Amino acid sequence: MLLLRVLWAEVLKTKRTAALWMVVVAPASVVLLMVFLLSQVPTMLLYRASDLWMGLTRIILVFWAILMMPLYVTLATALLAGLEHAENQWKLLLARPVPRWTVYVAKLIVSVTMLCASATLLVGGVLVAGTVLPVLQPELRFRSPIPLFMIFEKASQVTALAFLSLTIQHWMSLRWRPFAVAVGVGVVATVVGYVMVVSTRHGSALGIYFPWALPMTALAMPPLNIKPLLWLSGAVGLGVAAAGCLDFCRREVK
Amino acid sequence: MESPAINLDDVHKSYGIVRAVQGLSLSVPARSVYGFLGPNGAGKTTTIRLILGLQSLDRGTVSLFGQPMTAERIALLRRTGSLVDAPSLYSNLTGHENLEVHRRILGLPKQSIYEALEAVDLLSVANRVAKNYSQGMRQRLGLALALLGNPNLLVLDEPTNGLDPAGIHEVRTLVRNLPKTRGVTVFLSSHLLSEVEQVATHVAILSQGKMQFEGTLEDLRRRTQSIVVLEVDQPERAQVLLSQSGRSVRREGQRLLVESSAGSSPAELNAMLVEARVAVSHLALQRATLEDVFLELTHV
Repeated sequence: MLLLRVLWAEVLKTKRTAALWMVVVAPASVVLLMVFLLSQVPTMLLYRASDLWMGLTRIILVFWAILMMPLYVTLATALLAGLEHAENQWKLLLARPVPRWTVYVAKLIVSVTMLCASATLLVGGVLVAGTVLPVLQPELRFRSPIPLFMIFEKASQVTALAFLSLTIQHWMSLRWRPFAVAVGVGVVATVVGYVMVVSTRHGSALGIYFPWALPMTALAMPPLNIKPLLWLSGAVGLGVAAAGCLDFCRREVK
Repeated sequence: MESPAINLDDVHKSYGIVRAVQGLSLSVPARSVYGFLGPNGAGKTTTIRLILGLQSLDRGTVSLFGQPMTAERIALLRRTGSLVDAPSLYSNLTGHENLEVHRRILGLPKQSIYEALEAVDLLSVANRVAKNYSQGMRQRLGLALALLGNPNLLVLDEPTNGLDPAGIHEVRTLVRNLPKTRGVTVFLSSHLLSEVEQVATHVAILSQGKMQFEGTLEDLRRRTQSIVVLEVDQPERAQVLLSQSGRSVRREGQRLLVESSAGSSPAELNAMLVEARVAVSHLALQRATLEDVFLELTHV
């Protein structure tokens, strides 16, 4: 009940923030960019996939998982934490009669919910892209039925595998007041993750060892056994969240 | 007997080698306005953060309403409102929404928002985004956040910062009346004696992390010493005469300063000097101000 109250307050704080806009803008920009690219260069899809729906889903999700999502997680967590850092809200917020862990967990839930909402919009974007592309580019004919389950499954796996990097970014954002710390680490980690994934030709073997590249393992070709990696992301992510929460509860408010 | 609203016992807090608070003990009577004075860097804000549980103690105990803060933190914070330094506002939210965030956290009825806004006269601009508020409005909203939920204890750090004269007057009146109208104890930190003097019933003076004085405003006033200022034609001789008669006297140029006490009233001093054929050209009773006492206690 207490957690729900704090969570409800956290939700209100996101009103009129850039972080909230990013929930829509991040997936929409990926979809729009891909629609534009594929309408101009349909061979990107035609030569790579026998099933256009599978191909379209993969192209959009790869771009999302490898670049946009890590940057989005970095920025969203930093912007949400920035709401508290900006005017040192901590001295009022943490003097309220609620356990500190509720504040940390509520903020984490908001970040996770925002990521899930974006992933859901991305799935919607895949469906819209598959509908719009044949109109813009007649060479692209989506004849097979829409593989809804596969699209949701892959998007869910990518999102679940991002949990670990999200908990790290969440901790860093709340731990260090300067915006540049968490964002700097997130951007560098995104670039490193990209290089690791590209260098292994989407084999993603290295991604297993790097939280920011972990989501790409869900799209590896040939497919990897994802189950242990999902457990890894979930369990280590919860461990990081617990450690971050402990650190947060012990912090001295300056 | 009612427990003090705040009780600090031998509290210590250091940051590295800097001792912010050293062996601080204080007791804030319930339903008082307790002025917590000290120059910048005296340890006032650190003390407030220790009271609110925002920082951990190196040593000592903090109790609110007779209960230790470490054991009963949540229950005690439920009875406490605070405004520390500049008000903490979400600039992206309206005044009303800022209060709504904290109303949700505190689990209060919606009506409490209007009560808090009304108390600080912000109802008319409640739906304006806080980033468009003036400094005075921000300060008022900070006060409204502190008042939300009718706390028993209000911890305020420089609450009149940024307010115009009318706003300062309103806040002073509000603070002065809170103990009577709502039974609230106010812990008011300030570096301005004039600020505290007008609202406080009790005063504490802190300097370099140590308590220099604690008592009622009357106790502090009693420490003010009156001085008789004399200008005479023979200052050396007059000084000897006054000293020989057991009076405490010092010389500042041509003027003599005599500590006022029984037998040292201006009339008595005048009579004595005239009798000794010392001509008195100026005679005045000068009362030391609270500010003088404050400056003396804080060694400025």
